Amino acid sequence: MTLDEEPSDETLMARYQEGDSKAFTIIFDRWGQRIYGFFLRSFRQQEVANDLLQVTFMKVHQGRAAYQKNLPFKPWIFTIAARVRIDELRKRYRLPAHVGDDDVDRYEQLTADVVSADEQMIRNHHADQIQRALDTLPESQRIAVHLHHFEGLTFAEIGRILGASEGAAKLRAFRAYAELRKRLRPMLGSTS
Amino acid sequence: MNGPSQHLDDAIWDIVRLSRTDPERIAAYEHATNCEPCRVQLREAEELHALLDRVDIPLLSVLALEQAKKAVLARVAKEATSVANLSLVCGVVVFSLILFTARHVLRDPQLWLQGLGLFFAAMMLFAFAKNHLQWVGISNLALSMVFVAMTAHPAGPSVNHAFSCMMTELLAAVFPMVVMIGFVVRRHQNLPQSSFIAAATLGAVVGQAGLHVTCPLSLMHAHAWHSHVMGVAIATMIGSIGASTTKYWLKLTVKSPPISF
Repeated sequence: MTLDEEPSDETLMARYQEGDSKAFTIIFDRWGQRIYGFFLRSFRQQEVANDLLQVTFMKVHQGRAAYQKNLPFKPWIFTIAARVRIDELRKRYRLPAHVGDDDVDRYEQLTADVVSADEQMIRNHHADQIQRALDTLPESQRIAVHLHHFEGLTFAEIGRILGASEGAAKLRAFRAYAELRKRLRPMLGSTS
Repeated sequence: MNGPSQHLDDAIWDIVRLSRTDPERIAAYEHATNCEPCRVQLREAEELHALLDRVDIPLLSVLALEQAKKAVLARVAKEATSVANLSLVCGVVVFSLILFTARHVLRDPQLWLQGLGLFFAAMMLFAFAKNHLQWVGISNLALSMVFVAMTAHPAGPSVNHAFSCMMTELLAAVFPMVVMIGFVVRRHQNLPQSSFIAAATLGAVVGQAGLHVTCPLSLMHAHAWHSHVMGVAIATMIGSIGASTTKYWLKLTVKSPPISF
């Protein structure tokens, strides 16, 4: 690494493990927006996303000693974020600890008619068909698309992050893409 | 895709995200040149991904992000302070226990001045370096050596009591470590290895300070090096071993599996 080169996330995390608190600040600056985006995609509420962003970074801090230096940082931090997400979903729908994403989706559908003011604001702000089509997907599919399309993670990584198999992660994302294609078909062909 | 003659089906959603040089993508596009349904599907998948690229997720404002960062850093600092305070309390307890349980306490004011000086130096070092604990372990060892080099006289061959003095320091080192492991288990939160090493050496150096006013041989060069400094050195090693085992302690208490890739 030359002097001009920015340290990698893995290097920063290793430095934070050694007690370098500045490294944590840099990690926050690099990843804060992306983790916020992950939660906003999931919950569609800015305040909730902001709170969960903070919870995630507290967990990064608390779990810093468990981070293995030779492993990629990105899937690690998203795994933590995904656990924060599932905890919040369970709390929200008052579900027991053992339920998975599929159960959460069922509860989400039961309560899907409740649209918060925040959510409405986001919808108005992004009043286009793509955003709405994304918003209508079940949460677990939305998050699979977010990690695959927007974060560029592989399905093997997504599966591990969400605590599911690679096949299950693929299934969720493929269903989501198929649904999006159906909803956005009139717009297809207008992208070039 | 399993073979050149098979349709792409759902795999298209992943294939179009692969790099243009990826063999799977190349094979898929070759297949699509002779397969109308797959060609249409691939085109639609490409267009859908292009549509999704148009969607921006709203960013947190710079101010809100800064506030979130400040809130997290404040909580992190509070935790670091609570861990440091816990270790410092352990230091005071260890020092007091050594004085209360010693067979005799020396009454030489100079020894007390030196002993208390070492005690406060170790405590201050820990308190001020709470965010850089990686240096505390080695600094404590250096502190112990410098202290003996400055205070002990090269007189007397005696290494008597070497074992009991060393044991006192090791027990003094183990005490804050046990408290720290209790902290880890109770809060389901791991701490960096440097925290354990720092806590162990803090206990050992505070133990050395206690021994300075209770051990009649503390000024004897050979004894001080063979037991007092050696005790701190072994405590550093014990701290390292203890620190490397904390993940196993955590496994017993943390409900979720360890995160690994």
